[in-house]
Amino acid sequence: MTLGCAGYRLSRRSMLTAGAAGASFLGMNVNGLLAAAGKDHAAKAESVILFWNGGGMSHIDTWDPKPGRKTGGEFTPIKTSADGVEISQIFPKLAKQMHHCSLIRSIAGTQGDHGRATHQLQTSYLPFPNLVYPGMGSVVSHELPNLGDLPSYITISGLAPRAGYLGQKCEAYFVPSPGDKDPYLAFPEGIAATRGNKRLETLEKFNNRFNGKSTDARLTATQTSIDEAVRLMRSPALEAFEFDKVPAKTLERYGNNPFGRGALLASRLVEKGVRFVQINRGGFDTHSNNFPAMEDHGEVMDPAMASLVEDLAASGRLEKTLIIMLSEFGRTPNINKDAGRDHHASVFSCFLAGGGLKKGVVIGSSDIDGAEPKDRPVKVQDLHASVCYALGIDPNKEVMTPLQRPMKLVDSGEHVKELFA
Amino acid sequence: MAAYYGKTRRYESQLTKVVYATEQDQTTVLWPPEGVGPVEARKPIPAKFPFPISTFAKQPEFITRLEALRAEKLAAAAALTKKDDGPSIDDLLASSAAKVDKATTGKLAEEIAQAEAKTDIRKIDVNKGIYRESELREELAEYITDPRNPLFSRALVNRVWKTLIGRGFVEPVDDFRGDNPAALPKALDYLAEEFVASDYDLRTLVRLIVTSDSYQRVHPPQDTDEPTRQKMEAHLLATPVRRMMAESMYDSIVTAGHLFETKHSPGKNEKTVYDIVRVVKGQKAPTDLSKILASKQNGGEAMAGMAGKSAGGEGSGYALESAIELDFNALLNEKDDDGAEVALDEMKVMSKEQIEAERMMAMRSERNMRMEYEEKKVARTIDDNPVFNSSLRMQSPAPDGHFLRVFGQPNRTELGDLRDDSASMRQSLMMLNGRITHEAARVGDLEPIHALLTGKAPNPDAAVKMAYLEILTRYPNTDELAEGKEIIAAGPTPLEGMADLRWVLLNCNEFRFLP
Repeated sequence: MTLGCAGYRLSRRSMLTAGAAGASFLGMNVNGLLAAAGKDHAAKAESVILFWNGGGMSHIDTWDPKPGRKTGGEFTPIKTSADGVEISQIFPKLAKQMHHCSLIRSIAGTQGDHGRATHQLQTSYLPFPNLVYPGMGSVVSHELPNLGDLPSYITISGLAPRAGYLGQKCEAYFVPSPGDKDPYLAFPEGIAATRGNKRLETLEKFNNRFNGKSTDARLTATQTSIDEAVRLMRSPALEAFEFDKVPAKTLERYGNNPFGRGALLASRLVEKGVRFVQINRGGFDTHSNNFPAMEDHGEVMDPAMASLVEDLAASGRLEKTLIIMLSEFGRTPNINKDAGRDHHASVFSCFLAGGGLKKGVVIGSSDIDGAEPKDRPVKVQDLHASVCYALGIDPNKEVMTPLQRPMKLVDSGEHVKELFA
Repeated sequence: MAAYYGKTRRYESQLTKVVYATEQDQTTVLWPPEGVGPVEARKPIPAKFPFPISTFAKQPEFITRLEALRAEKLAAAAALTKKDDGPSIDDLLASSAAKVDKATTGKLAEEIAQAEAKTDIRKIDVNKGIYRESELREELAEYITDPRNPLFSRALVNRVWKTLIGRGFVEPVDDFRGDNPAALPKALDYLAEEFVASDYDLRTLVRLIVTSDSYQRVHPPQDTDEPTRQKMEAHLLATPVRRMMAESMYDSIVTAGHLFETKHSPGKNEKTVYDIVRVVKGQKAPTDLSKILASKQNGGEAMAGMAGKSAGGEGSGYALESAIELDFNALLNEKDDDGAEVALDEMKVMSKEQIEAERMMAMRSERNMRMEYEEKKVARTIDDNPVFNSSLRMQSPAPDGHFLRVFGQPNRTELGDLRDDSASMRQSLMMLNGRITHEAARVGDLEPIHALLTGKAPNPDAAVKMAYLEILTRYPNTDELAEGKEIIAAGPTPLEGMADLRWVLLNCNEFRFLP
């Protein structure tokens, strides 16, 4: 069985003696890990922050402006800190950070339905009812060893795709509301730490007595999962979730809303070694009143994205963190009678930053109206392969489903070479 | 197989919020699938049952028995309907007497009109307009349930066998194919034929299985080495170790912890919770907030048919364990919409996301209208007396992230979504720190065990015995009894000590795993 994420476990006792063990794993040498995994290139990225914009975000009103065209819309493009790169006016702050970032303007999607497109963008596979395909985050947490105490895959403000045939261990840890206390990470209300710890000790005694000499993994797995849970509950890394000590100014800079708090939490989580953070935001299905809606989205997204890129770049963490913003498709150049734009999959854009990728470049382009790819069409699978490549994961590696069917990690994609130096 | 279903799509009724799968105008399935080869090459595929239906030279005995049984049932049903000759003279007289009564008070016409309107309303079949009956699917159903289809009965027997014994003849239970032979194929054939002969009666099947020798087998001895253990289990010589499935776990905790009904007297669990409300700037938040919230829960937000009652989890952030109950009564009865929602217009209780969205809206409209809102934190007292319901009454599948899903309940939307009973960290967090185990462990004053721990003559012996009996369905041995009493004595109070003991019992492997 190839189920379950690669990961090491420490017994609760050895964890306690090791004290703040988490910190030492953060310094783990990526090249060392790669050598161990037999990878042929020096991947720079260690973790991924995925912004998932549900509903299909307009590419023309964000990353791929078409000024002077009838269908170009209400926004004017603005110059950015990246030479010759212009983006929509709704991102004034992010424009000043674009020298850290890249764009792909020629993603050639094939799916115009929310469900199917979301499935493909998140898993690289088209949906097929025989299998539950794992999302990008599950693949990453399956392939890369844990760094530190926190779950290696965390989803914020919404659910991530399931782990499917990669097994329960690769499911995302769900943070419903960033900045709020998670009741499951501490003993129940009214149970003090000493009493809770005593309960745990008694429980271990009961379980050992029941399990006896049995080495049956099904029995011992309970205690292992309890150990993992306790390790997380006692981890100093949990402070990443708590915003009490975050200066009000910082919070304000990211925008004190779920998206801003999500971005801030993501940056704090990758610092603690979380491999994959997904931040969900909806409301991009702008069939009507596209422009005021996009302006609102800009007001929320711009400060958060700009602060995230700026802060990670300042701390040097950006080189090791791949930021990617995806949506299931773009929107039509044509502006409909309700001043909206409809689903458009044949070309759309994607925002990338960090992770050792080239900076300030634009890959591919769409035609004059942003309707079809003009050059360098990029398949959805190629995006997935690129994320894998950046992390040193072989996208063509095969894993077995529970029914022993071999499946590639990515549905036959090739990484976008122009993204990598 | 897909061709039988044609093109279907999900449709959510705006009236009942029930989701249907319905056929679209174009019902044929084209092959090869999208993206494989040129579009012109895609042709409709004819429906064809993918498994061979058995043929017999002579009708086998089990089908003869099935036919005899069905004929017998048919005759019995016919005899029953024959007796019904319509209402008796007495009935008619009685009802007309009642009508005369009503006529004198002047209510009759009104009542008749109302009754007629109600019957008319019930005649409107909300499903019919959107749900198209499919001849192809009916054909498929007949193929599947044909007694000569060997796979249907075997697949079902295999599943019931696995539920009761812990391992199917065919493993994994869904993987019936030529090169994955069944262990003990003759036993599987026998049970499948008996199942068909009993007219697919599950009780007969369960009776056959639980009276079998296999059902009586114990676990392999503890010092058995791994390969031997696997062999013993594969040949059904020993019962494999298995955890209760998600639904059984949930229900067992609720039952053992007396959570089906309130176990604390009113007022014993009062606590203050905080809600964020938005009011026009300068205006005070109303004081009777609890009333508004209560009414909102009953009418406003709850969708007809799927009342999202978060039993006992209110305001505590533990929604992932609540009994998300299907309200069958609301589905069947007309909705009573009187009152309730009046106060809601003045004030809205919202989630953070809603507040943010509204704030953005307000910012926009501010340019035109000078209306400002502010958030206020309002305290209210609730009697937090937890009540949970059986998972049998909950929507299935439960929402993503719910207790049941974390413990392996499949999503049911994909065929490849298999039930997973393996352990995970998330499960442990839920069991160690979650609300349901905590509340099940706490001792309520209405529980029988309460009297054994309090009062002038507490009886800890009996209390420990009761805890073991309720949770592990057995008595403790001498050592366990002494240990249990120690745990009770070590708690801050005997009641809390008992909560500690019960928490451990509810979390331990002996509770979680089936004997």
